[in-house]
This record gives sequence, structure tokens and C-alpha cells, in this order.
Amino acid sequence: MASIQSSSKKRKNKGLGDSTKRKKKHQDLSDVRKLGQELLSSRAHINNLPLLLNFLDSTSSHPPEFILESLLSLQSFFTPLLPQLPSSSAKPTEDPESIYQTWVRSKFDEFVQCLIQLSLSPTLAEEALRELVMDTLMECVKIGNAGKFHSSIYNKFIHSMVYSVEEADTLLNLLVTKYFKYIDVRYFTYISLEKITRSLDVKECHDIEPKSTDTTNGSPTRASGQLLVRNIHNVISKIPPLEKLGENSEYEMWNGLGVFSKEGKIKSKKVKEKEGKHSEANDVQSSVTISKKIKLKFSKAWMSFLRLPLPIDVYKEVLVTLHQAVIPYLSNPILLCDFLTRSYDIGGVISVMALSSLFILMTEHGLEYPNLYGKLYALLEPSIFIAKHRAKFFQLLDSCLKSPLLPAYLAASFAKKLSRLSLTVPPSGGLVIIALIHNLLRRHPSINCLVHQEDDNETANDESNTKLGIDLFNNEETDLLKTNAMRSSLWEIDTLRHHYCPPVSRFVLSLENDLTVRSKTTEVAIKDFSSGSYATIFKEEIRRRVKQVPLAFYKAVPTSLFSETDFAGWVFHSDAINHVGQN
Amino acid sequence: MVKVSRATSSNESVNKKKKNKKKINPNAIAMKVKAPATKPNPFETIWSRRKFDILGKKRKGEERRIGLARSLAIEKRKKTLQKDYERSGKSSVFVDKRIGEQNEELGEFDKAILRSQREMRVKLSKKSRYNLSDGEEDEFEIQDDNSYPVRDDFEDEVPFDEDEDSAKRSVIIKQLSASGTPGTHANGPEGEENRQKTKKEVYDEIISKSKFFKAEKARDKEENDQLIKKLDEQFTSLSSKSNQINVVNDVTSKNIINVNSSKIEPDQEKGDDYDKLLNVMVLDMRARPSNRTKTPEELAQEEKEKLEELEEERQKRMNAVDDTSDEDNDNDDDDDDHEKSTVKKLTSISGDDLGDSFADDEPKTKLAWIQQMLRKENEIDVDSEDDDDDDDDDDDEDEEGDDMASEMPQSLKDWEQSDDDDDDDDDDSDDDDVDVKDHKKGVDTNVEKKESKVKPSGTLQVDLPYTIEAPKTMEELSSLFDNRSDDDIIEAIRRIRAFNAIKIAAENRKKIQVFYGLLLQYFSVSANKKPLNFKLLNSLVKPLMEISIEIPYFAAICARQRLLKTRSLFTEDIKNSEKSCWPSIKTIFLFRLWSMIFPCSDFRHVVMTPAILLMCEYLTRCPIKSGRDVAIGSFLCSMLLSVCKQSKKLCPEALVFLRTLLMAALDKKPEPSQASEFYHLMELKSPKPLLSINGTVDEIKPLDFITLINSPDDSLYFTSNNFRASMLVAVIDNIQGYANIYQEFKSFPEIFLPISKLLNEVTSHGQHGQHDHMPSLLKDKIKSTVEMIETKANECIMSRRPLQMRKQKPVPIKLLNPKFEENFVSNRDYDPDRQRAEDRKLKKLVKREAKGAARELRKDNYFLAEVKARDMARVEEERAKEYGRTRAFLQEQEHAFKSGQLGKGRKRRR
Repeated sequence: MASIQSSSKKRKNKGLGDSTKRKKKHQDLSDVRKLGQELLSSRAHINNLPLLLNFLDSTSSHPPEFILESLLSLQSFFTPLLPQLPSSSAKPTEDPESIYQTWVRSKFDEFVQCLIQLSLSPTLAEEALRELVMDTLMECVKIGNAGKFHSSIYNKFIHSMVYSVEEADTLLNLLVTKYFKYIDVRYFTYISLEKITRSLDVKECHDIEPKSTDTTNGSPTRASGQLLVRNIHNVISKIPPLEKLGENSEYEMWNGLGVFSKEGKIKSKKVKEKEGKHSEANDVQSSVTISKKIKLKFSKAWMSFLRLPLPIDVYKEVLVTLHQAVIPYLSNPILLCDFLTRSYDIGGVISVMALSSLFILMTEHGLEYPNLYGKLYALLEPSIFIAKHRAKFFQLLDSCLKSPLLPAYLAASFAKKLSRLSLTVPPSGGLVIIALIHNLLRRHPSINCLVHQEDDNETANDESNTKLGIDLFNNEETDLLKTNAMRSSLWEIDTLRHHYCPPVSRFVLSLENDLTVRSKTTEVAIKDFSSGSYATIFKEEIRRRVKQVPLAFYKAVPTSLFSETDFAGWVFHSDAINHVGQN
Repeated sequence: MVKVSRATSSNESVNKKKKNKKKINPNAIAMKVKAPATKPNPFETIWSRRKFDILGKKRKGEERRIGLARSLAIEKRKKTLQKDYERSGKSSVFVDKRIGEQNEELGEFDKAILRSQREMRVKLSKKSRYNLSDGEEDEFEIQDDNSYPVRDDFEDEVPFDEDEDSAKRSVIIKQLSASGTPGTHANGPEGEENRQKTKKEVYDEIISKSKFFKAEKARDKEENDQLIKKLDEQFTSLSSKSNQINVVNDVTSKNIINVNSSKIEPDQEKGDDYDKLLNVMVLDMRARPSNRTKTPEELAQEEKEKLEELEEERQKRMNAVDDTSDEDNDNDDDDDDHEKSTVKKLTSISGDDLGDSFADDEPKTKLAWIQQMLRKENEIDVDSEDDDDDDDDDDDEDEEGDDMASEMPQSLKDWEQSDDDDDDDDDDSDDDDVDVKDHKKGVDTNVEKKESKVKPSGTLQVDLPYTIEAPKTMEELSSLFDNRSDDDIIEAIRRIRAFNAIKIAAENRKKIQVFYGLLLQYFSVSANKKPLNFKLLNSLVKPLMEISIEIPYFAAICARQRLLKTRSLFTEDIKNSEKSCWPSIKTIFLFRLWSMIFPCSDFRHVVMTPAILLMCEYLTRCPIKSGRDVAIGSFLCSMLLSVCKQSKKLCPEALVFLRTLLMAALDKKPEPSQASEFYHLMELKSPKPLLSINGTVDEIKPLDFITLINSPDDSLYFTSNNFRASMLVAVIDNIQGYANIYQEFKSFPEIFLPISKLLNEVTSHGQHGQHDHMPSLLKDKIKSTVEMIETKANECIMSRRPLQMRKQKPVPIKLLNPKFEENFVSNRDYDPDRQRAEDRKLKKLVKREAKGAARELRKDNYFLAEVKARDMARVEEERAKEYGRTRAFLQEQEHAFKSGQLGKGRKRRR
């Protein structure tokens, strides 16, 4: 019976082969369907397999219906077969059955390869088809490794996705919406990302070879350098973080539950999953271990990612999201301190952005960073008052200076520096500065001499009097100890009283209260001022109700718009303009 | 206390007497009275007294007999509390129904009277007529006699001996009058007192009375004298005033004064000023009311009417002299001018200058106009003078007649041209009712305007109509203003304003508001026009300012709306990096206009504060890319300077911008260390060396802003060295201006020393180059500026002291002077707060009452305990007695038993 079958198979096979050769162009959908059905019906039509695979080749463009049809039949062919297939590395024995199995296996590998390429190919027109391709791929991943999670396929998939030059946004979105809710998918994503970045890191270090050699992946063009990093960042930032362990600490697994409970074999990577399914009793404990494992992988992935040389925009984005999206989920946030201090040392906007994460590390994770105040002081520049992230920065600055245990010279330096800045910054900055100085004065009664100094030596000679007027503060000094701020006085604040912006000049008056009496005063909430800008102040002024409108008074109503006495260095020749106009 | 038992009352009477005559030994009196029914308690006779007299101190209750009070209290308790106590164990009560027994107020005597009255009535009744007397009356009489003194000797101070007699008499009187009230009873002794006036007393009284009357008479006379004197004084002052009036009259009406003076002269001989004056006054003219000064509304109305009249005449002339040459028109114009000049005179009188701008007064050419002028002046005279001139009146009438006459043919002529006819009619009706026809008229004038536009026959520009309705849309405005000379436009605005003056009608306010908005629009549109008519803009300033004065609120709203729009446009522009976001010429002109209309020195102004904010925002946020940007920016700086000048407001943005410009004058990049704080700001501003002078400078002259702003970005002039040098001069001028207004700031050195450093660098930079291109004029200027800044900074450093913001006022030492009150009365509450004083008083009272009540209760308890103890003692005594008796009996028995007599017998008995 077997012989009959084999003979018939051969015959049919040949015939079909002829037909495909003959009318390649006229192949229609029914033929493809027939091929699939035959393949599924018996082993005799096993030779249909390469034919069908041919359709999936991304290089040759087939109409999507063909791809779909072949895909479906191939999937239904491989799905029941997969558990019996040997691993791809296994050597074929003499047994024809095993030879056959190995052959099928190789075909399966080819199939997966095709799927990966297909999913990333830009030529794929229909998104629904792409989704289907990915579903199939994930299905393969699910059962590929003898019923367990096939990490290598998945790894390949992620790898090729990261390395792809094309926009993988839709694919990534699919992945995010459909599969990242499964804990094991996330887990393996972290692992593969870590692998990729590590290999990249090594490469960067050696910096000798082009990257294309070290992967077996046959993608035609490779993303390199910045694009690659950007892709990785795309993926890693899109992975949803681990939820808090709640009542229902049951994690959803992509891989089937039944398969794991039946399996007695324990693989090191699968420990947590296995335990999770092993018994209901230690369910909670298992979920704890799961989260621990995932945290570990998460940390590894992020750490290796941050070690990469990041392009500036990615760098900024990472810094902005770091304290919210990463730090809470790291197994050991202290690990970040290298990265953060490095970026804090860069200066400018990047320092400001790194500060918030650094602040969390210091306050919540016990990081000690002795040079903080020096750096903070160096950040105080006029540009900070028009920078984008100034609101956050001022709040952090305020909270950094919150401790009443700070030495007086430090507080005085900050106060003096801020007040010096107030002479050059826009009104919104002026408001923040006054608020900050107010808080400083209130927290540190020792620097009250900046705003109030009794001149007890009335009898002193003129020389000492003139010395009193000299500002000993050194504005350019970066060492807080040497700024001499304690011997200065906040004259700038007094000048701000004449500021043209009414809120500023009004707010200065709040500093006149005796802030040393702490019970009678309250701190100013920096939050109220930190996000101010021209827009907010302007809106505030425009929103004021028009109660009365005073008018300018002239003895004689002026007849011309500009008078040259008011505008030194300018003339207003109406004749000239007429002249020009005529010309 | 009021009710006293008979026993105690006798005691009391004794005591009272003692009070009256303290010196007399009480015993002696007691002996006299001889009522020793009860032995007097010796303690009751003791008076409480003070050991030492304290001056001015009054104490309540010091004249008390404590013993007596105590015994009285005990008596009272016996009557009330003890009764209650005794009754407490009993189930039934005995009620005393005797007459007056329940009434506490009644004394024993009154009770007796009541009872006797009843007795009498009963006796007098028919039933009891036949009853036999049982001698009770006598008893009653006797009782009376006894009881009366007992009751009444508290009050009167009659000596004891007399007392009884008088008492008796009074009793009799009382009984006769049969009135039982104690009030009438009390009158008795007083009547006796009256009668007892001695002769001496009577005489004394008479004498004193006569003296009093005499004094009164004298006083009356004195008062009269004074009054007369006062009247005289008043009169003299009045007469002097009337003299003044006469003087005034002198001026106004000579005739009368003449009459007066002629009359006065003979009168003077009489010598009585008053009569003289009286005569004068009788003959005096009464003052006539002068024409009141006109209200602004009326003046506005007049103005309007005048315009209407002029328009009418113009129409008339236009129609009449259709075929005449332009000369007439010119003449008309001249006439208009004259008219206006009269108008001007009128308005200048009123002080409400509506501000017409007609400088050129051409000599009068035509006689008719002179005449009219004269007439007008006469009218004014009529208005201003008080006197009635019949001639003037006639003249007026004549004029009116003339007017009517002149109107007649006109209206006839008008039949020929229907449009004008309508107009005239409307104008006529306007006189009666402005409000109703306003709308229609607006349309009509439009028609007329169109017409005038349609036929620009002889001259290019058609005459302006005199009455112009305020335009309501931009089209109307532009159709009115288009193709007119600048002067015509201004004149048109003036006429619109006069015709629609707010003071004439309330709804004109709305029209003027709309017109103001349109005018502002026109202003900004013409500022944006490419061949800029700067003269027109200048001349628009005045009307705009004047209208803003009339409708300040609306002007402010307009300005704010425009500001808001400008800012939103600016935020849009700044996102677009290619487009220049610096303000347009329109915006700059509007800024300037507002800063002229509204005061810049206010701390917070509804328009100026946002405007300054916006200007500063431009300076901070706009990138400097070209020479044009530099020009606009530095012009904004000088505008800010003029705005901040008066109130000396600090404007950091302008200073920062000027510093940036100076940096642009250096062609090298500043080293980061040098001005580290600026380095970052500069990043935004892209500091190209836009102002560094790298060639020879031909001339330095003040920059013409209008030329500059109209030049395109890539104009060659902006890259020329001339421009750069001139711009630097302007910048340095600006810096000087700021240094001048900020010189009093405490942080002047901190603000300006970096700038002077930069200035030095600019000069040295020029020198270090291969060719020193910097003109010496500029160098000198920089040098002088640097010197000025440095001297001012030094002065500031010399004069300033460390801040003393927490300077507290010296706390005054607490004074411990006694609060001295003149005429101090003790016990008086000197609390200024009445309410509090009252409260305190009440609280005191409550406390006292509570204490008193507690004391009473305590005493009640003592009393009750005493009573109970007494009862117990009585019971005990009785028991002891019983016991003794029983014991005695038993002892007797025992004795008998022991003696053997009874025992036998007893046993025997058994």
C-alpha cells in the first residue's frame, strides 16, 4: 500500500511540476488551493511543499490571494506535524523516516524564514495579510520547540525587525497590541533585545567588521548605527512595564498552559512558567518569581541599551521617560547611576533632564552624589529660564534646596546667583526666582544677612562705608565655597521692585516680610510659578477686567506719532519715504 | 419685713425713735414709752459703725443694726418657713379668711379700717338695723388708738409729743374721708408744715422774689441791646454790599446810576445813611438773570447746527452756481474757513476745544461774508451780555427773516434735484428730531457721497459735505476717504465727530465707537500700505487721541483685542522659522499710538501692561537674522525706553537685547568663560557679526526708521558699514538713555558694568584689526558712554549699603503714666465700651444675687435646724418627764414592795 501511494505520489508530483512550469503565468487561485488540499490529504503530495513555499518568497511578488492561500495550507500542514519534528540541528540518520523528518524540518525553517521576511517586507500591500503572517509566525513560535516557546525563532524575528531599514511601525504596533500582553513574549523580547544590543556593543568596541557577517539572517540591507539604536529604542520603549502584583497575579501566557503542566522536564529558562502551572498552591510565589525574573531581564535589556551610543534625540527622549517608565521597574535602579551621572555631567539641557531621574535615585534609592550642588549651581544660567523643561527643573531645584541642614554659604550662593540672574531673565523667570529666594530665606535664617544687615558701625569712616557698597560676590566662580555670597547683599531684588511687569514688582514685596519668623510665614509653592511664560503672564493681564481706563494727559495733544527727541539716533522723514515710494 | 408682728413692731418703734435722736439714751425713751411687754434684745440696739472715717468714701449699709436685722430675719422666717415646716406634716390647712389678712401690703391699721367699714355697712343695712350693739365699736376705737402710732411713726419727724395729737387728728380726717390708701394719709404732715411758715420766712421770700424779678428785667434789657447792635452790624455789612452792587450796576447801566447818584446827593445832607440807602434801594433796578453758561451738550448741539446750516448753504450755492467756475468753490472754501474760525471762537470760549486744524486764515474777500461774520459776532454779544438791546433783537429777527427768505428760493430750486431735496428736508427735520431720521440720513449721505464720487467734474476732489454721518462699515469709510487729500480726510473726521458728538445724543456714542474702530482700522491699514503716507498717519494721531478721550473704555477694549490678536499671530509666526516674526510696521505704529493715548507710567494699566509685555516678548523670542531685524529690535528698545522713562521701570529684555547687539558688533564669538551666562541666550539669537564694522565708514547719520522698515530684508544698505556704524550709534544712545533712567537702581553696577566692558571690547576690537575702520565719532561716543557708566557705577557703589529690608519700626516704650481721670467718681465704670460696661454690671448683679440667695438658703437651713432641735428638745423633755414620772411610780411600788406591805397583800390577792 505504501508502494502504491509512493508511486502515485511521484506521478502526480511530476505532472504537477510540469503544469507549474508550463503555465506559471496562468496559475489561478484554484490551483494553489488544490495544491494545499493535496498536501494536507496525504504524504504523497509532500512535494507540493516547496511549491507552496515558493509563493511565500518575499522577493518574488505574488498576488496577496496566492500568498494567503499558500500560507493557510502550509500552516495547517505544519501545525500538527511540528511536535514530531526533530530539532534542526539533529543529524539525519539512515532511517528514511528520519530523513524525511529532517527534510520537513528544513522546509519548516525555510517557512519561518519566509514568514519573517514577509512580515517585514515593504511590498506587502495589505495590512490584514501582514497581521495574518505575524499570527502564523507567533503560532509557530508558540509550538515550534516541541510544544514550548520557540525562543530562537522569536529571537530571529525580533532581530530582523530591529535590523530592518523599513519602518516597522505597523508590525510593532501589532506586536504591542496583540502579543506584548503575554508575559513570556515580553520576557523573550527582553532577552533577544539584550542579545542584540550586547552583540552590537561588542561590535562597536571592536569596530572592525561590518555587521552583516555575524548574522545568518539574509536581509538585503541592514540598518546600521543610529537607525538601529532608534529601532531598538522603539521596541524597548513600547514594551509595557510589569504591572503591580495584585490580587490576580495570574500572568497571561502566550504559550499554552496545558502543554506546560504535562511536561515534566524542567528547563532553566522555563522555571518560572513551569512553577506557575505546577501547582495552584504556590501560585503567588511563582508570580513573584516571574516578576523577579522579568525585572532582571528588563534591567539587563535597558542597561545594555543605555550603554549604546545614543543619538541626541533618542537620548533626550530616554532621559525624559526614564524616571517614570524605567526606574520603578528596574531590579536595581542604582545601576543607572553611571549613566545618569554621565549625562548630568554633559551640561545644558541634558543635565536638566537627567536631574529628575538622578533626584529619584538620590531620594529613594540612597545614591550619594556629592557634587550635586556644584552641578546644580552650574546649571543656573539665563537659558534655563527659557528652556523647555524648566518647570520640572525649578521644582527639583527647590526640593534639592529644601533641607535646612545645608550650609549657609551654599544657600547664600544660590540665592545670590539667582538674584543676579533676575536682571536678565524674562518676567516669568523673575517670578520663579523670587519664589525660590523666598523659600531659601525662609529655610535658612542664617542667610538673612543677604537682605538685612544692621549697620551698627555708624561712626565708621568713609572707607569702610564704600566697602559696604562693593558687591563681593563673584559671579563667574563655580566653586560654591569661594563665591563670597555671604558677604554680599541682594541688591538685585531691590531693583526688581522697579520691574515693568506688575506681578514681579508686586511679588518682590513678599520678601519684605520677616521670614525668620517661621511660624508666621509659609513657603511659596514653586509649582505655581515654575511653568510660567510670557503667554501665561500676558493672558493673566489680558484677562483682568477693565475697570477703569486712565488716559494720558497732555497740555497740547501731540500731532505726530514719533518725535525725534524721544528717539535718540532716529529720524522720521516722511518726505524721504514719499520719495522712496515714488521712486 | 414689711409685715411685722405686733410685738416686734413695738420694738421697732422704739428703735426708730432712737434713730431720730441718737444722743438720747435709749433706755430713757423706753421708759417713757413704757411698753415693756417683751424684754428688748440688747444686741438689737447696737449700731454698726466705722472705726475710721475715710474722706470721700461712701459705704452702703454702714448705718445698720446687725442684731436687729438678724432678729427681724428670724421673725420673718418664723412666719414663713416655720409655718411651712409645721404644715409639711399635715394634710389640711387652716385658711384665714379674715378681711385683709391675706393682703400683705395692708398694715394692721388699714385692716382695721377695712373691717370697720364692713362693720358699718353691715350696721347700716336694713337687716342689721335692729341688731343690738355689743360694744365692739368702742373696742375698735381703742384698738385704733393703739395701733396708729405703732404703724406710722417710721416716717414722720414730728416730735413725739405732738405726734399723738396730730396723728389723732389725721386719723379722724381719714375716717371721715373714708379713704384707706396710705398715700393720702401721708399728705397730712406736709400740710401742717405749710401752715407753719414763719413771718420771717414769708418776708424773706418776698424779698428774694422781687430781687429775682429785677435781675430778670435787667437781663432782658441787655439782651435786647445786644440784638439791636447785631442787627445794626448786619445792616452795615449789607449796605456795603449793596454799595458794591451799585458799583456793578454802574458799569452795566449808566443811566440808572446817574439817577441814583443824583438822588443820593441831596439825601446825604440828611445824614441818615439808612434812609438814604432805603431810598436808593427802592429806586434800584432789580438784577436780571443773565444767560447761563452753556453746557457742553448745548455747545455740541450748536456746533452741529452750525454745520448743518453750512451744509445747507453749500448745497444752495452748489445748486445755484452750477455753471460758475471753480473760483466760487474756492471762495466757498474760504468762507468755510471763516465760518470755522467763528466756530473756533465759539468753542474757545467754551473751553471745549474740539480741535480743528485750520491754520491758514485767508483775508476776507466778500462783503456779504463780513456782514455775516458781524452778525454772528453780534449774536455772540447778545448771548454774553445781559442787557437787552432792542436793536439787536430787531437785527436777529431781520436775520431770521433773511434766512427764511433765502431758504424760500432754495427750496424752490431744489425741486429740480431730487436727491439734494431729500437731503435738505432731512436736515430740516433733523432740527426737530435728530433721532428718528438718523439712519435714513446715513443712507442719504451715502447716496450723496456716491454722487460726489461719480462726478468729479471740474476738480479732482469734490467738496466734503458738511454733515457727514459716521460711517458704519469699512467700505463706507474707505469710500469717504479714498481719493482725498490728507487735509480733507482730517477735516472729514472733524466734521463727523462734530456732527455725531456724543454730547448731543446718547446713541451717538455707539456711532462714534464704531467710527473709532474703523478709524483705528484705517490707521493700521494705511500703516501697512506700501508707499507709506507718514504724514497722514501723523495727522490721524490727533483725532484718534481725542476720540479715545471721549470713549476711553471702548478704546481700551479695542487696543486689548488688537494686542491679543497680534500676540496670537506672533506665536504662530515664531513656529514658522522661515518667516520673520519681528513686528510689522503696523504693529509698531500701533504700539506707539497706544503709548501716546494711554499713560505709560501707571503701575498697571489695562492696555499698556500687556503692550509692554508683548514688546519685551518680541525682543526675547525673535531671532536676529538680518540687519532689518537689528533695526526693528533696536527701535523697539528705544520705544521701550520712552515708555519706561517716566516711571523708571526696569526692562531686562531691552538691556539684554542691546547687549546682544553689541556682541554682534564683535565679529569673533565670545569665549564661553567671558560671559558665560550670555552664551546660552546667544544661541537662540544666532549672533552673526551683523554689526561689526569691516570697512570704511563714509558718514554717520541718524537712521531713518521709516526708510529702514520699508526696505526689504536683503537690501544692500543693511550690510553697508554706514548702516552698521549708524546703528551702533543708535544702540549706544539707547544704552545711555537706559543708564540715565536706571541710575538710581541699587544694582546699577551689576546691570551696566558688563555692558561697558563690552563697549570697551568693541573699540579695542576695531583697533586690533588690520585697519581701524571705526570712525572717531563712534569711538568718542563709546568712550563717553563708558565713562558715564563707570562714574555712575562708582557713585552707586559708594552710596549703596547692604539691604535692610526687614527694618522694623522702633517699638515705642510702654508708658506707665497713670491714667488720670478728672472728676473721678468711684464705682463708675470708665469703660468706653458701653456694652461691656453694661454686661459687667449685670454680671455683678447676678453674682450678688446668687450670693444673697445662697446666704438666705444657708440661713434657712440654720433656722430649720434650730426649729427641729427645739422640737427634739421638747420631745426629749417630755419623754424625760414621762420617764421620771413612771420611774417615780415604779420606785414607789418597789419601795412598797420592799417594805413588805404591798407584797403580802399582792400575794394574798393572788
